[in-house]
Amino acid sequence: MEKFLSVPEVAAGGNEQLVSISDIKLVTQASATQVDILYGQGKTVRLTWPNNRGTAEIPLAGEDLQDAILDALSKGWTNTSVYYKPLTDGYVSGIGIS
Amino acid sequence: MEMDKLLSVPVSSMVKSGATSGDGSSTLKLIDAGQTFTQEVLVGDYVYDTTTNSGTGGEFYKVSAIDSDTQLSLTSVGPATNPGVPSGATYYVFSGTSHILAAGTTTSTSANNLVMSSGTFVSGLTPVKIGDTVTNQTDATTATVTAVTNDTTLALSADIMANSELFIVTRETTLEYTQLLGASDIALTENVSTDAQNASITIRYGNASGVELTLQYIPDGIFAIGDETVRNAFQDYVIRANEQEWSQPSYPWAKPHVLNVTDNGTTDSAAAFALIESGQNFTSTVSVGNTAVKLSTSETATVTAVVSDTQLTLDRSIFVSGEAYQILGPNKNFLPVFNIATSAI
Repeated sequence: MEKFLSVPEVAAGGNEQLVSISDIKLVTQASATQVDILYGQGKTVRLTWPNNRGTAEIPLAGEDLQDAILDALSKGWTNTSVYYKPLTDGYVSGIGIS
Repeated sequence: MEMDKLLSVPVSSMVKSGATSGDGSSTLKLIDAGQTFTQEVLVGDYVYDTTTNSGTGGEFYKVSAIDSDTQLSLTSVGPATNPGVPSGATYYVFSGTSHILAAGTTTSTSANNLVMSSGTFVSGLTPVKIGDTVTNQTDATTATVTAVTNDTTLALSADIMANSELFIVTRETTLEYTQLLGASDIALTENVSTDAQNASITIRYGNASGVELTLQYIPDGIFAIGDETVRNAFQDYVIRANEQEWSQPSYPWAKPHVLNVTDNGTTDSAAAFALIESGQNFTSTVSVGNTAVKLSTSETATVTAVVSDTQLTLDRSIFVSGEAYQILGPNKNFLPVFNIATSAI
């Protein structure tokens, strides 16, 4: 079963980019603006917020993203893509993979 | 249909890090001239010295006293007897049972209020709430927050703060956050073999090019090298997570506890509803309400009376003569996780 978050990027109401939430092994807030999703195959997707949203030790953005992931995974299999409105800003300024 | 399962793991936040500037290695101290520990660290917080014995897992301590802004008193934690932190060691301090929400110096006097013009009591990352505790560090008095007026003012239950006094605002909970950890496609979980502190496990996932994660925890209450309490707890949580309905993608990690064994031995006589062993000292080691465990079957019974040094009364008849047992007191040591990552800190 594949599942995705549909994440608005660059500006509120802007284009949405699909981010996989299948095979997630770890979610980590790497900095005040960056949250990393680590997948089983070793790839990492990084979402970057336009403003500080917590810290690595008080990861407000990371916990918000995790809540969205769990909410999406709890929906039926026909809900393949679930819209995610990032904490406070409503969008992220960047999504990348490494 | 395969569904991803995750564990929701509470992770203790790091409240401080640095490198020691003085030698505390023979006095159970941590010394760092550049710090203000009185406003950043609490008794009960944990210290991880990653430099000393780094090849076998570093050294762990619990903070027993805040001696000054630059010095902490410590007690050793874990299987090894650690002597204190030497000069030049890298260390981390993790939240224990309480945490500091705000700290600083008051900027005016207001009856029954705490005022700091640069405060962020509402908008800060750790907002203050009614019921939090204010400690005046200048004259060692305390009060409770009765209202959070705004970012710069707290109403207090007692008039303890005047202008230019040091304070901290604390809450009796661990500063921690939740981290999702994959519970599907796990190939093997193991204690780190080189870790003499028993403070980490590795989680290997099944994909050929997959990731390996290290989960680190404070070994508070673990006294034996090779103890697998956390590894076993992790495996148990993984099973429970995967047994859940598909609509429940995560399972909550509860901090594993260390069994509090207050006594043990082998019975040498038998009677109904009794545990008997000559030569014991039950009146010193056992209390009513403790649990007696028959090790051969893991059956348990509750102690209802301590009859003498050699005999206990139980609520069930589970012992005959010649059976090994343990007496367990209330759980008191929990094993908080402080890091989950692709590499250890």
